[in-house]
Amino acid sequence: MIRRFIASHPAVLALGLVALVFGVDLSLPLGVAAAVPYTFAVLIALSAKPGWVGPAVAALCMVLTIAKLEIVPERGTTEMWKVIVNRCLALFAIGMTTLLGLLRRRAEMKVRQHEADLVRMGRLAVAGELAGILAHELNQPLAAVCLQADVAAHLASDVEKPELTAALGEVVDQSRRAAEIVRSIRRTVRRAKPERESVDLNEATRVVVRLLDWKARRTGVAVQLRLADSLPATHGDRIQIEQVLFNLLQNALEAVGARDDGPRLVQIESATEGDMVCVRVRDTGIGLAEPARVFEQFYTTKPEGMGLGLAISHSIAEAHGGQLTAKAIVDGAEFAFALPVLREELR
Amino acid sequence: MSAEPTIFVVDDDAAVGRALASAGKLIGHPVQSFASAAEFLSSYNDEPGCLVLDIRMPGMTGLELQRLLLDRGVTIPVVMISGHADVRIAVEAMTLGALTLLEKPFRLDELLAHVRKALEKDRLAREEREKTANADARLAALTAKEREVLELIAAGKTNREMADTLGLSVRAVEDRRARLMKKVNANSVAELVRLLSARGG
Repeated sequence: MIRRFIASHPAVLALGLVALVFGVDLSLPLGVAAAVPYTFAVLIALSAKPGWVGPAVAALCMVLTIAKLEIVPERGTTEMWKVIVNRCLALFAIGMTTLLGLLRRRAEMKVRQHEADLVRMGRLAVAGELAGILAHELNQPLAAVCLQADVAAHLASDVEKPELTAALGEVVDQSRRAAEIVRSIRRTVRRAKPERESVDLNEATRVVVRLLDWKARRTGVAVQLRLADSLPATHGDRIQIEQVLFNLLQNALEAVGARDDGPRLVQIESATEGDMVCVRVRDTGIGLAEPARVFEQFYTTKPEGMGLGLAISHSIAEAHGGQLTAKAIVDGAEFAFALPVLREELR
Repeated sequence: MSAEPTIFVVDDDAAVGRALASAGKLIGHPVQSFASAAEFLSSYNDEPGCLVLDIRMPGMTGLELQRLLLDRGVTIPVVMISGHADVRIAVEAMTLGALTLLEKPFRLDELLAHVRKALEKDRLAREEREKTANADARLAALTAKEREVLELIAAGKTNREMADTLGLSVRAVEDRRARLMKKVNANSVAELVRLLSARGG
């Protein structure tokens, strides 16, 4: 209840707290460090949606801290310099809290932005994959229609019926037009060219683990990272590579989450294997019913799954000159994602 | 070997397979359709003809089949067809020796033109191979001594020069030469040289 209230009305709560602290502060002698609790108000205010609320509340707190010097003349037995030092410490506490809070908020925003990017790219990839499948599946019957109509037109040329030839010609033209439409949709949705940059697989793995940390905690799964100390860089589209790792970790977490008994563990390992760098994701989940089929389009064992995540991941791996393989292990599954080492690093 | 040139069609999509078959029949050649690369491999035994091959198929893909045929030394000309020919695949198909890559849907004329070309290429290749086999067989009948003379004739030596080289009389060389010509069934030196150039490696 209280948590939900803090989450939904942080600004109101922060201002209430400021008023309370100010009241208490005023009722106490100058020497008492009653201004420090303002930091809590600042922390709460920092979680407010508009970015300016936090700094505004912090500024208010600082003004009130100084204002007390004017309002309350009585300073008890405390000497003046101690009062000033006291107030300065309070100001310092409020200032540092605000600064650290803002930095943290910025880092969080960055992580959230990154996650949003991944999700958006993931959706785009799904749309592209669907368009590709549609294009292929429709193209086959269209090719058959087109060719058969041509054959029919050829056979009809003996019959001396220009209307028939014209009609069949129309069938051919329209089926080609349909094929062209499907193809252009596919071209539009598929991203034109993947970015090519040097990518550190360890770093990408860490990013993805951070992104899915909440999910691991919610499903009560321990994620163990065993990353190689020095991993040569690979070459490719960072977002796409992260997307593959994201899919693998997400699947691993879901596989463990779908099980009530046994250890709840996901191990992620990175290593150099020949001229490839490889990340292995091992889970103690429900395992693979048909390891050979996991990369097939539309193959899924999840009730809400589309069966495209691993298919897309597989094609991303191949497009990078790497590979993605799956195998069932005792008590779970293991996926290995290997990418070629950047050539400059091999020299 | 004497079988009529056949158009072999491999496409996993039955409707496309049927369409290709009815197209192939228009040019008066028998058509055999297969639903997979494995099916084709198990029944094909170097019969004359050409192969119309789809690239994207479950199991063995068209490119894999092409590579396998190449490895086995099967030289049947291949017309590749594909739903979406990206450049990489097209280059690979061509490198593996495909005559062309047609993007679906394609026109009948395009298909037939390429199939005709493929059949013609196969016919010429087989003729060439037969000639080679023939020449090899004829030349194999020669004795070592006759072969020696043959090499010298091919090198453009006169009978006198040959006699000097081999340490024989001109008469003996002439005899050997006549025997040799008869054995390989050649009427002139020109014919003999043609025969030599037709022999295999």
